[in-house]
Amino acid sequence: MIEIKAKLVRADSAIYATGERVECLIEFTHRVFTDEHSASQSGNANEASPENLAWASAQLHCYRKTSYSHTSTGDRTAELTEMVGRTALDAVTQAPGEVIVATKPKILFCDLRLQRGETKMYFFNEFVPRDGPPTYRGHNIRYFYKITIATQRVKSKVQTLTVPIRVLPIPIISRPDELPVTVETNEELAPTNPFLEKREISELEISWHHLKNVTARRAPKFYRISNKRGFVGRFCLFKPAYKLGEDIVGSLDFGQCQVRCVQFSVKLQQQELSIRPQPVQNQQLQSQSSTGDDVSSMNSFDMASIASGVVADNLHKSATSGSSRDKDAPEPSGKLSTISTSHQVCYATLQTQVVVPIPLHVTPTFRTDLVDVRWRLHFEFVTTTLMDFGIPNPEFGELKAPAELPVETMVWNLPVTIYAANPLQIYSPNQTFNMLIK
Amino acid sequence: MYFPVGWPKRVGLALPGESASIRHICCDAVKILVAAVGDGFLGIWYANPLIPIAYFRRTEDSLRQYGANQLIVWKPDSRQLALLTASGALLLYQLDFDANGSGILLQVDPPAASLKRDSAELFIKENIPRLSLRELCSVTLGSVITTLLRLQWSQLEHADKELELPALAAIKLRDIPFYVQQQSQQASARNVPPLSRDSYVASLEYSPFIGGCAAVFSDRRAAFLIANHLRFETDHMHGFWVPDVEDASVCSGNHKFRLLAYGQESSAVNVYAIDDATGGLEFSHRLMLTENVLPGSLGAVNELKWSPDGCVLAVSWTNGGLSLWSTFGALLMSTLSWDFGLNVDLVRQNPLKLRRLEWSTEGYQLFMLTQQPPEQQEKDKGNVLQLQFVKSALSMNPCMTTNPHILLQGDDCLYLNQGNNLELTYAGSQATFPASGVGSAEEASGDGDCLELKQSPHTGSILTESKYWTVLQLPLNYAATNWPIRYAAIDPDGLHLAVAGRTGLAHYSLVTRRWKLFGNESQEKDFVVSGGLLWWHGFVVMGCYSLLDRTDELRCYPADCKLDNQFGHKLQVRAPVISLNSFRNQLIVLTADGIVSLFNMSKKSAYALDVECAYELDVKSICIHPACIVSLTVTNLKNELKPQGQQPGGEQAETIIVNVCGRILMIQRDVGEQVPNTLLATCLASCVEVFWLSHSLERCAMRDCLWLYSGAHGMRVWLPILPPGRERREGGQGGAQRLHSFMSKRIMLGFPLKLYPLVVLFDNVIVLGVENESTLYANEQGSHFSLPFAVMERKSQIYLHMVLRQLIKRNLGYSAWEIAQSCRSLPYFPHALELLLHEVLEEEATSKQPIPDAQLPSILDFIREFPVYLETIVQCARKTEIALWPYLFSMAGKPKDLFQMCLQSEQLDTAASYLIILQNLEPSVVSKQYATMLLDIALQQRKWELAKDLIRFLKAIDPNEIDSPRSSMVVNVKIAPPPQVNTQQQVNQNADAFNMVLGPIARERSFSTTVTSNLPKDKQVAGASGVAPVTETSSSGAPSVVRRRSTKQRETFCIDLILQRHARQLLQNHKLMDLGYMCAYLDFHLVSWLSQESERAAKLDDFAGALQALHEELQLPSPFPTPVKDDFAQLRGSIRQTGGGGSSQTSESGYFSLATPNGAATQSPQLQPAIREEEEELQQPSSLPVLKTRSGSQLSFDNFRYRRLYSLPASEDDLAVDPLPEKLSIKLRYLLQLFIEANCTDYALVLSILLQDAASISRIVNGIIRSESVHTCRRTETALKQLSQSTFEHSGSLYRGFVLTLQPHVYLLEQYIQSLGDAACLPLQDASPGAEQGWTSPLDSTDWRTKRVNLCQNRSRPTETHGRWRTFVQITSGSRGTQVWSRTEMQQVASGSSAQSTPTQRQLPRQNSRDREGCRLM
Repeated sequence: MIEIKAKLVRADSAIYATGERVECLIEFTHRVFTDEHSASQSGNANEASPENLAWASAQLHCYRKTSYSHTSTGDRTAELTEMVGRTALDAVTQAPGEVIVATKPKILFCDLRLQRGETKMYFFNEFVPRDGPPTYRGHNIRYFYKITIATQRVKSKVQTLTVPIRVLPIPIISRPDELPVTVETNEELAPTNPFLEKREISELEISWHHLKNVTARRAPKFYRISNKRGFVGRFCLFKPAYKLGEDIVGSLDFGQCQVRCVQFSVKLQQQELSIRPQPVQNQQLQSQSSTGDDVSSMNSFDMASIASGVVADNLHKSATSGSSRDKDAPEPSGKLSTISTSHQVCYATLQTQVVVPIPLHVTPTFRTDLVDVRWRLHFEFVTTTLMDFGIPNPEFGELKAPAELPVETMVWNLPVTIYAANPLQIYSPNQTFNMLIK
Repeated sequence: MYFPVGWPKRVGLALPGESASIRHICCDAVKILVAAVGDGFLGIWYANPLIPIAYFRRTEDSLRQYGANQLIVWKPDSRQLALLTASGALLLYQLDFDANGSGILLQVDPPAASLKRDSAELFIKENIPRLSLRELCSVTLGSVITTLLRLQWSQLEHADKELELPALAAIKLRDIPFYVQQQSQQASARNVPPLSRDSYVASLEYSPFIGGCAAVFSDRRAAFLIANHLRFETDHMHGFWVPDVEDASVCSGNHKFRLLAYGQESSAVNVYAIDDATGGLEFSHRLMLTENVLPGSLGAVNELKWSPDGCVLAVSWTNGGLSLWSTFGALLMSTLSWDFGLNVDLVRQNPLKLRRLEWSTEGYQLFMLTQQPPEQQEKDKGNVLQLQFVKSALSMNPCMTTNPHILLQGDDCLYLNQGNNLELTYAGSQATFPASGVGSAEEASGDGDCLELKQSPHTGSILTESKYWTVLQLPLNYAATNWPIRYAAIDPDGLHLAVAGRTGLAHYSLVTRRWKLFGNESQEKDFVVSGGLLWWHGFVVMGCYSLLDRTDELRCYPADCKLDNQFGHKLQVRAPVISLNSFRNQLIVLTADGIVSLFNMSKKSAYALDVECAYELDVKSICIHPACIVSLTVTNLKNELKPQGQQPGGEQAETIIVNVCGRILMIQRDVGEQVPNTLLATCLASCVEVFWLSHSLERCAMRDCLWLYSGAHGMRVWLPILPPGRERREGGQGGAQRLHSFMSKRIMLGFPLKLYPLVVLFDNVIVLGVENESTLYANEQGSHFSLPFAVMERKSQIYLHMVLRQLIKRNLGYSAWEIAQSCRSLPYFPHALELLLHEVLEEEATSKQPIPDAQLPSILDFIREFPVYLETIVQCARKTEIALWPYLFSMAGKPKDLFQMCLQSEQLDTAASYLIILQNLEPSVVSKQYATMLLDIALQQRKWELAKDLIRFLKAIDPNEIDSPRSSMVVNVKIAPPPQVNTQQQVNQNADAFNMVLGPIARERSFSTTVTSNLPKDKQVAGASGVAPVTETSSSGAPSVVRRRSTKQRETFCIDLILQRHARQLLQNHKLMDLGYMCAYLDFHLVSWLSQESERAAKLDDFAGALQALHEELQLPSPFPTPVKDDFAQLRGSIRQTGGGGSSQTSESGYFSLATPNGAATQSPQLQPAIREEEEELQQPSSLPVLKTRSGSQLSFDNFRYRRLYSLPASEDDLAVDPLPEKLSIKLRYLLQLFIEANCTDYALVLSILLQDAASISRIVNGIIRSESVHTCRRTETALKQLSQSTFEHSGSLYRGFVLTLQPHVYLLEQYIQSLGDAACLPLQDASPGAEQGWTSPLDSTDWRTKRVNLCQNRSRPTETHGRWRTFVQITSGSRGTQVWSRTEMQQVASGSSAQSTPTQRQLPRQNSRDREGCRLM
């Protein structure tokens, strides 16, 4: 009996950024169990002693599972399956869903012979494809990554062991002019001497640096919140782009308000907009009508880099008010899921803050040809025009709070962009995956 | 363990629609209601959500009569309030619950659908009671009262409705506390120095557990008042003056730890504990803010408040600022170290000038009343700030010390930080996979991709503490009715969390990321968790009070099931649970009746467990009140550790450890008894806030220790001292009679900690904690958001060195060694040693008094046990002041010796660090000498970076200092002009390069002016000024500092000598790569040096040998493998195949010389403007004009292009051979360029061959020919021939094909030599001896074949005739000859084939064909 164990080297966080290297230790052990041992002793002992495996390979796959009809994407799947057909093992059968990215399978060994109790360990490493989607579990679509370790005994069928990993998207830099930011400029003379080797800066490193730039705090934006009855408050968001695990911090100032905000809630919502394969013109139209100014570009991360470059206009008029829901919404909201909520009763509050944590387990903003995942802050302000208790404050004596308070609610959405965090900083211990081949 | 989060909220507590300043805020006893008073009104608020319930505004008359409101105090049952006015009147208010209304301020949605609320959280579930407020009566107190008075109703209420009044120890003051109907006046007779007549109580606080009041009088004296009887009658009361406190301002009492805190005018706080024996006060510690504060700038302490759980003390000062201190005095946070931005001057105008503090529910919020300057008061409307806090789960649930995760609880969320700190292991994670037992791992990884392992982009910052917090929000359904979190617990694996709020319980799985709540909400509402919450093997265990049955219970719920009572396990206990803890399978529970019960838990199935009571123990004797027991645990830790294997019944815990008001008591079980005896309780330590136990550890040797944290007194560890291992082993064998002698003892070691420990990772010898930091978000002047935003950061601190130090101090070096040895694998182990040394050094070297027993020697001896000794010492030295160095090195040994030891152990970098020390402690000569020594070694070991630094170091030594003894004078080295020698030369060198590139431009002039004088002069320079070649030329440019410069130059010259010597060695050993690296890193000007060396070290005698050596160096397959027998036929075949190419060969080179003028300019990396070149020539007309003028046209063929375009015959062979790796070939090409520039044709040729670059060979050959040196030509020719010879001798050679293509060059050289012989020798024939002629002519006339044989036989011949050739060269170098030759070449180029009548030309084709024949025959 052979036991196969797979353990990712990065034991404390089985999370990888695109372009990073997955490293996995795969162990093959010839395990002898006591009952088997005795059985083999009684029977033909020489036959059972060494175990043999014909080959083993390891490969990284990205799968997609959608609830969309497959007819529209038929040709694409055909193309993809064609690609899969070239690999040694049919990964499509291993997991539900289509394989959309597959790395070249790596052969771990051919004809492995294991003595009783012997263990051999192999090291598999592979780059997570740079252009693949992140791990995402949405309403209508799922993307997930698995390392498939396949092995076969002579005259047996192929056995596979899968190790799931989580992949975070690191945006590919679309503007190469940001590149020099990372180059250390201490060498005034560009060394043409080939003996002076400069440390190579990997593309991932550059992207990471870029991402840090984008998510740095700059250009606070102020929003005046008013409804038709008057000024409610002023909201300030200190940056538009965040990394996973950060807190979205905003300030709310209710000073000098004309309408009292009784309570408010801010929700971090994920929007899943499915992009149905459509004729080209329609798609363009749709992208123009949607809010993002540059949704038409394939890489949604452009949006943040452009936005971050914008100098703060001091006040941004908030276009939304309570009545906005009456109008027919021009933009599709997609499937919404609320991730975290910050709720405050702010009856007496003059100045307060909004802190919405971004959990580490969510998928950052991304876009593929089938889905567009965005993030937004969904505000609900419950306001009342009753600045006092409905009766004039007495000159002396008791003033009791009224039993009821008429309120109105207004809703406002503010898009934010969420990026990946450093995978090493996310704690998600992974276990060992194992399989027994009898 | 409280940490503020975010900005404080600013709230307006004035009447609706108005704004007014709030005077005082007070929460009621259960912290549900908040009373706030302004000048003329009183408001009652619900605490959370903060919503007004009722207001009462006083009449104008009342205001006039009694003055403005000052203070408000609640009656403990929250029914009445007492308000003190400015003129000393007490106003009583009655708060009535209005049962008929459903609630207040219920929010009503408008009919329009779009304006309705639709989120669940917006519907407030909290039922806010409807209350009404009315004035009961007002009582004017005695005439003198203009005072701040703090009243406390005592907890006892008697049947006769008479409420006990606090003892008011005002002498001769008719201070009248007052309640409902009864009024009593008390004046206690005192046996203390009398108070002055007009003094009164300024501050007073009562604590039932202390059994008395803390009081501060108006004359700034502090007292402690005790009554023997709880009725607080004057007769039974007595007081203590608090010693040493003469300037008290406020006081506060901590019930749980029985502490009294007195704030002082001097801005310090003194904290006293109650001495159990005498009942008197015992000084505990003193809180004094020293960091970031000017002494005296704080002002008096104006407010002190213990948090409701007694874990922290909030302190504010009159001049502004707030700080939080833990129970025993560890500073948790101070706003004075916050970053307020540049505009705020904290000393003059602190934005956080607070008057009053008040903790809200569970201590999650702190109300702060700011004292605003009058001009701001109107604008900002509202002076109440509410600061949000999160606290460690330990503060409520001390049993959480057993897990390695940092868990903090906010009022409705949890902050979690997991993962041990050792992510560093994964830095550059490719290195971490085990070098698997089989060698196949590398094989597998090498398979498929040859990509280098790239580090992930941030591994460098892995040990940073900025790991993200996982923030878990409480599910709305639970939080809406059970706010706030009271208990939180996490299991040791960090997979399950449980929280308990006001009622019920919820738990969360970090794996599935789902909360589990009670399905049946009434079950949730039915019980209140109290006393603690913990995880045991997948069960949540808690103490609770069932509201339904009105009983106290222990409950267990399995995590995997639905949260429902039918799966839960209940066990009734007699009294409310106060604290609980677990050890292995044992659960220890303390109940309010003072009984500690021990339960054995066993798992019956996955969802059921069995809890049985093992024994009960009365602990009332050891504590005043069970509520004073902060925490307790049961463990198998023993005072005396028996040898392994001797412990009876190992699993069974034997010892109970209790923390009573900060005193750690250990209750041991007597031998043979089943139940521990409280009489055997021993006090181990006092002032303890938290304790940890380390049981089984994987890595560290500090097993079975008790760890105590005691605030300002730091951390303590109670460590077992084991006998040395050898003895222990002997003891194991030695039999029973020896066993008793090896009962080891324990020792208590203390060490300071910089952070508040929340988690101790024993295996990693590190403590984790959280620190309060702040960031500034906005800097608008005056805006609320320009206050700092408080954040929490996880921090860690290593404690290994401190434990080691304490052990060494106590002569327990062996134990220290054992512990250190067990931690050696930790990445920060060397760092810990360094810290160890550093601390001792700082302490002992700066001590004013002589140290009787210096610790440094023993510390050094200890560190010497580890291989990082040398490094540790130097690292430590470099981080300490220079003044301390003599002391260090007087103990550690002379730096010179240490330096030598580094050299011996080949720790060059460490040795380099010692240089800095040497430089400071020794005369410059010494350090220079050592640096030179190290430089030599570094060069030999190819540590180029190090060598570069050393050179920098050497150059930076001020030459004036060398002669004089070391002085502290700093001579600015930068003033001295840089060694222009080198720069000048470099420019020239570059100019040469430009000339090679752009030759044609300046052709005419260089011909006329330079050619004639060139070569002799070059030689002269090289010969005469071998010492410092170019100093003369540059010295004219520098007018001043001649002496300095000359020494400076001597300095650089010295370095240059070393470098040159090394370069020569490298060159002689054919280590070209190293040479390349050397000149790249060390700014060694290879070209200038090489041109000096071109006739010496750069000369090659054995080309084939050199090629072979180069191959070895570059780890390429040998160029001349051992011949294989049957290769001959194959060789012939290949030659035949390539035969056709031979004729086109010569014309190709010609073609190229024509084609490149355009291409060369664009391709050359050293492209420069042409004018530059002219200037350079004017300045230095000496070097290599011939090459300069012509070679540009031939420069920079691309080898590949060459091959591709012309399909050289060599290419076929090349395909069989692995091409050079790209990087390598770039380097070689670079070197080739340098050698060509330096006119080192020998090496240039070898490199070209290595690169298989026919074009460059032809270029070199052309260059040689143009140099008109017959000698060089001869040499080159011989070398080429020799090479081809050895190539053909070894049939499997790589260069077989390539060498074939060289034959035309050989021929060309021959021709040229011959032509020179014809042109130049004829007129000089008389003068010159015939030998030269005789040497050349036979070669010309003889058949190619014979000549070759001839050459092969006398391979050493060219060297023999060296001297003779040189003279010949001098003779033949004339401008005419060159011109003639060049013209012919031009013609040849133009025509391509031999149509001219020049003898050379005519002979060409013939020679070619002959050449080919020769090759074939070979």
